[in-house]
This record gives sequence, structure tokens and C-alpha cells, in this order.
Amino acid sequence: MSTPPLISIVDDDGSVRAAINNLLKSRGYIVHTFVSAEEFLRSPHLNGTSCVITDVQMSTMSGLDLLTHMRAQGYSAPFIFITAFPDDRVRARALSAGAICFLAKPFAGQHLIRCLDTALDKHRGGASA
Amino acid sequence: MILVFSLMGSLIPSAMLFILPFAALAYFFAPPTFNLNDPRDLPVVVAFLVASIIGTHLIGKVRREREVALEAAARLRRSEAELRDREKQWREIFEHNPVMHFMVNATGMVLNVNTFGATQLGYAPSELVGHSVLKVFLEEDRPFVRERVGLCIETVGQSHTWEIQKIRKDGSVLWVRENAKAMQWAEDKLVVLIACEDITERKRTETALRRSEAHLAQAQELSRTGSFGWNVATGEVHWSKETFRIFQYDPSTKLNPQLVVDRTHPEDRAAVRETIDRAFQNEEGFEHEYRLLMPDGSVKHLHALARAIRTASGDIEFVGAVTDITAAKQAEQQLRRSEAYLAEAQHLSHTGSWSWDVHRLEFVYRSAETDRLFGFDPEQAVSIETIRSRIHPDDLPRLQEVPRQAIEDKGGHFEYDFRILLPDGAIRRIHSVAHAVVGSDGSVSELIGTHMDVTEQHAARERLERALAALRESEQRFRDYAETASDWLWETGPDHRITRFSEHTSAAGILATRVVGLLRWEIAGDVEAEPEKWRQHRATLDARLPFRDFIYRTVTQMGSPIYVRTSGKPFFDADGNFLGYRGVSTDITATIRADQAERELRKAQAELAHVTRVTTLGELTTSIAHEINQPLAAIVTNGEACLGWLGRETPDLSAARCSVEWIIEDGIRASEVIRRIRALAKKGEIEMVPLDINDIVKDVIALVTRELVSHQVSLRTELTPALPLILGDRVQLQQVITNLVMNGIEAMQTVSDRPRELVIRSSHDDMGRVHLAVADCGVGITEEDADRVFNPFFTTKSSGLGMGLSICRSIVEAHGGSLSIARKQEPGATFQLVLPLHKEVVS
Repeated sequence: MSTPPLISIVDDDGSVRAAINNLLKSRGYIVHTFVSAEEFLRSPHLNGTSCVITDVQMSTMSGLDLLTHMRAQGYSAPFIFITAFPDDRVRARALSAGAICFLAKPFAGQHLIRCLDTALDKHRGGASA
Repeated sequence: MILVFSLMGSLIPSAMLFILPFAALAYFFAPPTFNLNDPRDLPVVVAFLVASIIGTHLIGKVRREREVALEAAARLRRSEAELRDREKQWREIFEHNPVMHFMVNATGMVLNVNTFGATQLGYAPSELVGHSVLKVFLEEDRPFVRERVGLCIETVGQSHTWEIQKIRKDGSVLWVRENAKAMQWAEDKLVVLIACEDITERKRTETALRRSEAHLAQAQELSRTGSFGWNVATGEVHWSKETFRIFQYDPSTKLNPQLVVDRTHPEDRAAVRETIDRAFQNEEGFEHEYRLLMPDGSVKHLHALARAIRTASGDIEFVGAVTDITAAKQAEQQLRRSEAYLAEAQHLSHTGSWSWDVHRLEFVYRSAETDRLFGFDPEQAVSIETIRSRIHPDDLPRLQEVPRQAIEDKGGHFEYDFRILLPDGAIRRIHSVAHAVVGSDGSVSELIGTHMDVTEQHAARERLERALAALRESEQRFRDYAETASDWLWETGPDHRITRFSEHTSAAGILATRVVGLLRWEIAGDVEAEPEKWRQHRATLDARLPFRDFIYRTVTQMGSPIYVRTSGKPFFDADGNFLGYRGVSTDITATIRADQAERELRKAQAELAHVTRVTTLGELTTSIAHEINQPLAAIVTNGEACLGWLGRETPDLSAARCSVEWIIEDGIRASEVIRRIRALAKKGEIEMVPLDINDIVKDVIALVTRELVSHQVSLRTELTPALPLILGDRVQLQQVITNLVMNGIEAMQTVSDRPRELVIRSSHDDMGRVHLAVADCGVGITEEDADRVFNPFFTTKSSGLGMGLSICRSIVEAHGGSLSIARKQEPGATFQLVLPLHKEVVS
């Protein structure tokens, strides 16, 4: 365990943001939260982020747009999508775009942790590979 | 006359003397008859009288000579032989003497008559001889004649003279002067010789003179004019009878000039003396007026006029007339007083009087007030130009026409108006009343009339007319206001019975004549239905209070019900006595209907808005889900976090507690979201009432017509009439059907190869249940979907959540019915709604 993985949460709903932050901290993760995709992209933690957990529906830049943007910029950090309005087509697009999970709010905590672990493993593996 | 001269040589001088006066008379009197009133004729009359007396005297003398001749003849006759020739001569004379000779015996029988005498009486001598002489006298004169003849017989030889009338054979009468004498005739018989002279002319003259004198006296008396003569030199004074009467002296009084002075009013004596002295000095006539002071103290006004004439002896004599002008003076004073009164009256009444000479075109008379009206100088005559200049130019032609018309119409009263334009520019308005005076020749000579200054009256009338016009206009204005604002105006009496009803009620179809005399509650048709309203209204009326916008129902003449809105105000007389109400009424049937329709419309719109909200629930659920899922996600996650903090080797209780607090907050947040959504979907209390499904369909059609048109969908309805009633909430059922229709419309949205037709069909089955089907020809529903369309969250729409049909089914099932896909025809789909009956539900 060299450096603990850095998790970035992007969600415009404050309480959801705070709740995920609370959950992951309780599990010992290092977490940064962002109100919007733009704030995250401007953040110095962008490069150090091991996994992005983002809301799909956000006012200016959606979670999918953020994924597309980051992939285009060469970032390979895994994405976990969460949404309060689950739509099959959005789910399909998100998964095809390379998202690890597509979780509908409300979701079970261990389900998110499991996704996160998968994502971190994949990221680590990917990075090691 | 020559023959007479030749035969009667000795008589020539006397005959000449006889003829001359007559010649003189003829000379003086012919051809004109003299006039006794003319003093110039007096000498003629006197000359005539003198000549007559002289003539008569001469005639008497002639007769006496003739008697001598007769006696001589008698003597001669006794010597027949000797005297026969002379008798013959005398007979000739007798026969042709221009004097009528009669010889009668003592009994009055005519013994002889000369031819002249008989001829004068229209007889032949033979017709008279042997008859009574009385035959030629008037019946009433005959006793006198007998008496005279008798007298002659008694006094033989003595002449008697009298004047009497004789009758001619033709009945005409002539006056004669008879000279008779009895004498011894042969055989001692007495005969009476009568010579008659025709004095008819003289008699006629005497009569005329007497008549003239009588007339003169009468005239003097009537005219209160006496005549007088006064010879200054001799002091001789003559007064006529009337003069005595005027001076109130006895006619027997011996006259002298002092008598006049004695009677003269002391104040006038000096003037009288002066006048008379001047007349004496200048020997010329005089004329003066003076007063007499009578013994009884009364005063007489006299007017005396005299002229100086020179008598034959060369003396100056004043001949004149004196007139009692007391009455005239009094009348004049009276007149002056009357004129003063009249002038005053005219001034007060602004009325001038005038008389206009229509030929000379000038005023014959104009009163002071007339002058004042025209602004004329009373002292000066006014020319026709001046008069015209004072008449308003506009009125001049008409005014000139007035006299012409009056002359043509010849008399009668006429009136006209004109304006006087005074030099200072002021205008007087004149009302004139006049009449034409028709002269003896039948033509109009004069117009007499009055001018009344009616300027003030005119101004007052104009003011009044203006005030009246303003009042009328004002009244009309308010009437217009009232009539514009209402359909009719009304008045009721103190007993609240209608007394007046304006005529323009045709719009409302109420006939004024039918309602006058009735009470409002006799006209109204809702008294029994709304007793409280009428009780209050009558209480208002009894309290004599104004009321506004009282609405009642009545019927028109045609019997159709109308609603009337009426407002009224009590009115009172000057003493405050209640006279009734005045007010306006309006037919507000249309308004009420419109209000009802609008209420219905507003209700429907509200319902549509609600239905729209419900139908868009599909879209809403997206955000609803989002809103709810967010706090739910936070709750779940915080719950997991809490477990995390507790599950640590060293449980972080503080963080766990914090997580639980967040869970609670988010739980509250979620419930708040739910509450807001409920509020959004909620609509009043559900009301289950008996309903006709066809009515609901019609309501829905009205609501969705716009949608049908905008999506180019035609709607066909197959509604079974007289369906049994169902029990339900109208709005909820409307929502269900609207939802089905909207779904149908949406299902046909992509259809372009066939007509987009929607069919709504109502019916009932053997079970008595009401069926309603909504069929479209849209994309249809797959076999797989058919089992799921009513599931919540099922939707074929990209933007929907599929709540619509689920909710619809819930509503229908809450009504005890069912909602299902009836058929899966190609193309399209049909949804069927089955509802139990009203009674069924109740039981």
C-alpha cells in the first residue's frame, strides 16, 4: 500500500455528495468532492484521481460528457456513474463508453464499494500493465 | 197784360204798381232761393215782405175800385138797354179777370163763376153753377165757409176777407185769399160776391219762412248758439231766444250791453272789455272766449264770434253768434285728463298709439309713447325715411307689407311684430296691434294701432326658452343616459303599482300597457321560488329606501323567461310626501346566461388544466423520481457510511452519529418532495354523483378539440342515447377518457399513410354495464406490451414514465369498473372502459 487511491466525487446534489464522501471516508478512502464537472477538471487532483464517481445528470456538463472529455484528454481513470433517473439508453452509452458501473440512486453502499474496488483493481492493473 | 192795359186805362197805374213789386220779387228771388241763415239774405226777405204788404195793399185798392165799378155796373144793368154793352164789357172783364170770382146766393149755391175762376179749379163754369160752393172747399173748412157767407149776408155791403184752401177737381189744393161782400141782387135777393186771389205761393213762402225760423231756433238751441245784433251807434241790441237762454235772462228783459258785462266772470271782464273796445275802435269783427258766472254760481264757457257790418244808415252794427261751449270745454278738460292718463298708462305699459294715413304715408297721430319708442322728437314731424331708418332692415319689407295687406283686407284687426333700431344701436322689439279704418268710399284711409314694447318680455321669453331648451336637453341627456344604461324606465305610485313604463321596451318584449297598474311582484315569476329575496325587497320598498341591482325573473309577451335587473329610487313632493319610485330596468338574461356559460367554461378550463397536469404526469415523474431518489440515495449512502464508522476497529461514533443525522434530514427532504407532488396532483374532494357517460364524453370532446385539430385527427362518435346513469366523479372520469383520447392522438402521430381517425363509442351490455371504447388507428400495441401497458412505469414514449394508463386503471377500478385493451386490431388499438350502473354501485 504505497499511496492510498484518490477518489473524486462529482455531483451537484450536496447531500448525495456529502453522503458518498461520508461512506468512502468511513471505509478509509481519500476522497475529494466537486460540485460540477468543470470544477473537477480545473482541480489539481485531476491527475491523481484513481476513480471518478459522477452523477449522470448535471446542469452544464453531464457525467457522460466528463468521461468523453477525459478520455479524449488521455485520462484513463475509471468511471462509476450514479443517477437518480436511470435510463437504459444512458446506461448503455455509459457502459460502452467504458464506465465500470452504472448505479441508480439510491444504491446499496456495498454495491458502490464493490464497483469501486473493481475500478481500482482495473486501474491499478491497467496502470501496471 | 196789354189787353188789361187797354181795357183798364184807369187801372194802369195801379196795375203797374201791382206788377212792379212782383217783378222786383222775381228779380231778387229767382233763380236761387234765399237762405235765412245767411245774414246777407235778410235784406231780401225784408224787401219781399215789404213788397208783399205793398202789393196786398194795392190789391185791396184795386178791389175797392172794382167794387165801385161793380156798383156802377149794377146801376147800369138796371138800365138794360143803356148798359147792355157795358154789361157785356164787364162780363168780358169778369170772365177774363185773372181773379176768381164767385157769386153765390144765401144758401151758398153758385150763381155764377168766371171762366178764370172755374178753370183755376179745374172745372168748366157750367160744372159749378147751380152747385153748392162748398164743393170746392175742404170738408173741414166747410162750416167756416157757411159761417163766412152767413156773416156777409148779415152785414150787407161790408167786405170780409179771409184765407182758405180750395180743392181743385183733381183733388189738389190751393190757398186763396177771399174777399167777399153781400149785396142786393135783383128782386131784392141777396147775393154774395166773392173774389179769390191765389196765394198758394205766398203761403208756401210763409210756411218755408216759419219753418226756417223754427229750424234756426231749433238749431240755435241744439247747438247752444245764440245770435245777436248790436248797433253801436243806437245802442240797439237784438238777441235770439237762445242768447237769452245762454245768458239766463228773461226774453222780456230790455237789452243793453251792460247785461253781458254783468254776467261775465269777473276774471274775464277786463279781457272782454278790451276785445270789444278794440272791435269798436277798429270797426272790425271779433272772436273771443270768456266765462260767465251764473247767478247760481256755476260757470259757463262762451265762444263769441261777431262781424262788423255797416247798416243802410251807415252805422256799424255787430252781428254775431255766441256759443255755450261749457260742455265742450269740460269734454276738452276731460279729454286732456284722459290723455294724461292715457299717456301715463302708455308710458307704464310701454305701449304707444298711433294713426297712420295710408295715402299720405305719415302719422296722423302718434302718442308720446310712440315717439319715445321710436326715439322721435315729439315736436317734429317725421318723414317716411326717418321712420324707415328706425326699423330694423330685416323687418322693413315685412312691415311695408302690413299696411298693403290691411288695405287689401279692408278692416279687421291685425297683429305683427317688428324691431326698432334706435340711433344708439339699441333694438326694441315691438308687438303691434292695429286695425284699418274704412272710409265712406269703402277704401282704407287710415290705420290705427298700438305699438307695445315687448323687448323685455322677448328677452325674458328667450331666457325662458333657453332655460327650457337647456332643461329639455338636460332631460333628454339624462333620459339618454338612463335609456342607454338600461332597457326601460319605470315609475310606481305610492302604492308601488306601476304608473309609467317607457315605451322602448320592445327589446325586452315587455308591453308597457300590460304592466301599468301592476305590482312588481305581480309581474315577477320567482316570488314563490325565492320568498326571502322578495321579502327583503318589499321591506326596502316599505322603508322607502333606494335599491340597486335587484334581480328577478319574469316572462316576455312571447312567454320566454327573462331576468331583469332593476334599480329604483323613491321620490317625494316638496312637502316630503312619498310619491313612489322611479327607476330603470335591464334585461340581463344574456348576461346571466353568459355568466353561467363562463362559469362552466372556467370550470372546464380548470379541469383541463388539471387533466393536462395529470396527463403530463409522465414527464413529471422524471423529475419526481429525481427529486425523490436524491434524498433516498443520500439516506442509503449515509446509512452505509454509518455502518462503516461503526464497523471500524475503533468505531468513530461521532461520524456515525453525524451520518444518522444526515439520514434523518434526507428522509424529511424526501417526504417533502412527496408532499409537493401530492399537492400538485391533488384536486379537491372526490364527488361521486350520478352521471351520463355521454355527457362526460361531450365534455371531453370540448376539451380536446384543439388537440384533435392541431394533430389533424378526425373524431367520430357512436354514442348510444339514453344510457343508464353511472355513479362517479365527473372530473376523474374526464381525466381517464381524456388520457385515453390523448394516448390515441399520440399513437397516430406518426401515421401519414391513412386518415388519422379516432372513434369514441358508448354502449351498454346485457349486464346493464356501461361500456366506453376509444379506438385509434395508430401504431398499435404489441402482444408483449399488451400485458404491461397498465403497469406503472410502462411506457412506449421516450419521454414518459408510463404512469398514465396505470393511474387511469386505478381511477376506473376505484369506480368499480375496469379498463382494458379491448382489441388489438391492425392498425391501432382500442381501449375499453366498463363501468357499473348507479344502482349497482349503491346496492
